[in-house]
Amino acid sequence: MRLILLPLFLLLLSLTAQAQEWTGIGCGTYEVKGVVRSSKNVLLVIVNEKSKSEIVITVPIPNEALLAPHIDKTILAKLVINSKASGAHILGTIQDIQARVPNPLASRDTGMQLMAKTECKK
Amino acid sequence: MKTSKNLIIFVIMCLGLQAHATDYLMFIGAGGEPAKQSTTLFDPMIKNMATYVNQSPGLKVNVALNGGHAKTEEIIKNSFGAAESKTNFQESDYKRLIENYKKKLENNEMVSGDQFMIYIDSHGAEKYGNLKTHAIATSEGSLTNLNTLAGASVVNLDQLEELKKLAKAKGVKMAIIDGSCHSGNTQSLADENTCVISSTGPNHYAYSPFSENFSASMVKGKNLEEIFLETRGKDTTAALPMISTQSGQEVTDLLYKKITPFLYHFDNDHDKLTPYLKNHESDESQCLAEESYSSLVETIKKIEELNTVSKKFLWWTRKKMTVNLTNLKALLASYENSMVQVQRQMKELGPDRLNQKEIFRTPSQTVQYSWRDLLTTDYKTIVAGLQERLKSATDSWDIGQMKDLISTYDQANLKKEELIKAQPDLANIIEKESAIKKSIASNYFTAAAIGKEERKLYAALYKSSQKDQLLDAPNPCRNFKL
Repeated sequence: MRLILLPLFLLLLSLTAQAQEWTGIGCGTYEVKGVVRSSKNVLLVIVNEKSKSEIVITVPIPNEALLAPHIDKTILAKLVINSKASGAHILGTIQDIQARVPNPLASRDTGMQLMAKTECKK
Repeated sequence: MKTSKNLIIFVIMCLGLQAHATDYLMFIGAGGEPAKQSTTLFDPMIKNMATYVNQSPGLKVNVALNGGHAKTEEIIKNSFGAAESKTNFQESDYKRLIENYKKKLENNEMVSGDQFMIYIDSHGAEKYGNLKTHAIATSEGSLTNLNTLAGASVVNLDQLEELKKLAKAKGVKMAIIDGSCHSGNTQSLADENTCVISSTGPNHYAYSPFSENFSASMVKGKNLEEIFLETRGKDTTAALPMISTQSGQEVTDLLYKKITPFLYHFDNDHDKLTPYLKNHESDESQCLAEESYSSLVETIKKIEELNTVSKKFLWWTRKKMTVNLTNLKALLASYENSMVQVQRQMKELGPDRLNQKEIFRTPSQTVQYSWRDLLTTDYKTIVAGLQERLKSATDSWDIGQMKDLISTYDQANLKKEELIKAQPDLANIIEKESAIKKSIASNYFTAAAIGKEERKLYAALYKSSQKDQLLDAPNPCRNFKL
């Protein structure tokens, strides 16, 4: 009996360890409220800027064209993430973007909300 | 002697009947709030309701509230000790409660003379589809849009229709209090047996103070009409509380449409004023809006006249207004003037041009920019940055993509220069547009100031309407006594 339980326990432990590596941002389509910045001449979207939960989203080079009109402005965008993220850096593709005025009364008026979950590409 | 004996028996019988009448309360809501926070904006109202319930022995209560907010759940857990049931507010709970009350009515557990109140306070949506009323948020999900309740799970209040019909058939007095946004839509459930009180109009947001003050005023012996009028008088928000009495309906018919835009304001996330202005851009709509404003001012003046008393002192007559609406008139005039100015200036500026699109193609991509994008983007700086990146790039794929991007930006910049050459006013249209928007005297506080003054007008109109009502006309709100 112990022989069966031990591998099962180890398997569970390894699964938990793998889960802990995950940033919590899975693959799928997200609604993103953030700000567009130019960092070292690369255009990025930053969510929860200057906070412990800051997320930096980089996009493929051609996709930067959508970010160009929004540098240093707050935006609402539809972001597609197809591959597993590491740390607080995410690679995604912006599908739709629009300027938005942040609510000055809402301290946490920035964030990412999962709209549709998909499986990550390997 | 015999007459007085009969009278005593009659009084005793009446008292006996009174003693047997039972009050029922179905208390639901507190849904749709953001996840990951322990409290909700419904907490003060829930505490007030708990006080009312504790002070009402014999009241049979069922509670379905919230779910997922630790402190709110703690308040609910520690209150309503004698409740028949106490659950989260999910769709299944809502349906179960409706079924339970239906059975109670059908099985004559609830009988003629009993009183049944449904107290609702949650986030509420605008009316949509074929709904007679509107939808409210349950505890499943967090809303992202206060108008549509997108992101939240909802139930609709049309499902209360059958309950109120059954209650009427059985002679059970019914009251529906809806404290949610857009709750004016619930007025459609009112009839001569059912009192409906809404914290705001069908097209307006509700704010917490109404439901908090209403629940705090719920004291044994008071009737719902007096609680409503007392609460409405205290309310200083940009909402429009409504009641289904005949007087309430008359005042709503007279006032609601006319005052609607004046209680809207610019809001970053949940703006109702911008869509309103957009829908009233045509000359015809603006003309109608102006007529509506003039008619509102006329109504105010009439009410002032009706409430002016003349006092004669020797040869001199002194007039005194008992209802002074000077502030309301001034606030409305200033707001109206501001709106007219803004609409005129915006029309002259023609910002709709900025929505036109231009397409730019390179071998690897096609990009679409609006004129607004073109005019607000500093392409030269971005291109300079990309050229810096190119110097250190080694991957040939990346280099190709960057060159394509530079080509896109060059084309966009060329188009921008062409546009400004053809229409020179485009050069500073963005700054002008921003300045006009800043000149709009509209924010929550201006709308709330109008709301505060509107309370006096409503109270005067309501009082005036009451004078014309027949004494024996059905008034389910006045007849519903706590």
